[in-house]
Amino acid sequence: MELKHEIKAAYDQVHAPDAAVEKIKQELYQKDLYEDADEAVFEADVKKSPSAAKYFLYIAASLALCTGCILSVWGLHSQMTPFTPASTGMSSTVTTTVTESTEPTTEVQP
Amino acid sequence: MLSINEEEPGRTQEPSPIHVSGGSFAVVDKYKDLVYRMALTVVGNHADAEDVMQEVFFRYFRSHPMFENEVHERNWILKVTLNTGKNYARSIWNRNRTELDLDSVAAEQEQSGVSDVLRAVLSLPERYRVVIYLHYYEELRIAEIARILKVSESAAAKRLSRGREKLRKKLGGVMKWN
Repeated sequence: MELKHEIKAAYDQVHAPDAAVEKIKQELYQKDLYEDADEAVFEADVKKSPSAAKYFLYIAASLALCTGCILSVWGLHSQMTPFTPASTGMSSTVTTTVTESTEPTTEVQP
Repeated sequence: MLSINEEEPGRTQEPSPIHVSGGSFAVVDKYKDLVYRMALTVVGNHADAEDVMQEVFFRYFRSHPMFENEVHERNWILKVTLNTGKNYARSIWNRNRTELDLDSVAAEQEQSGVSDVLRAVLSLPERYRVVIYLHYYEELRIAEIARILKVSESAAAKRLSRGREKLRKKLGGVMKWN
């Protein structure tokens, strides 16, 4: 007999032990890992368009990011108070002092 | 969910309907012998092969892989069994135990009614016995074996050739291949 056939015949005698297979099934069941045929079909249907789902997710994430950026910039901008010197007492004094001190004193000789 | 990349063995270029291998325990019943034989070939003894088989089916049900066809599914299972078996054999616990129990494992194989040819195959180094199993039992082509083992086709062919030579020597050198 050719060795190829002998290898086939030898491996044909090897089978997974029933006890081990039953144990695996029990553990799968206990760990709730096995799936029903219906669930498997549903999963296959859902998975038919993974690229469309990915595309939609990408768009949604980009939109959310852009909206967040715009809102945060807008929020910062709205909290800014413009500098108005006349609105506080200190600023007017300072302005006056500065105006007086920095006024050029050029005397023109006749 | 497991993503299946382009390099997975058995994947065809043409678009084909998604293949889901039955529900409940149909997968276990369908592939139990395939997984067990591959695991036995990788780890070399029955006790460890059972552990590897369990881990492979756990992985299958945990990852819910999707396949394009039955060949793709079968090759995925072979590949996962190979990797799981290699990791199992490499684990520290198993390495220590192998060193300690080498004699008892050999005795177990003597007693378990394994044929001479199978014993000779299992006594080869792992890299050769896996290739011999995949080529002569699962009847995979060199290209498919190379993809499963993640090696080049020439490397897979070389392993097969060397494994054949070593097996021929172990069995007395008079066996004919074809």
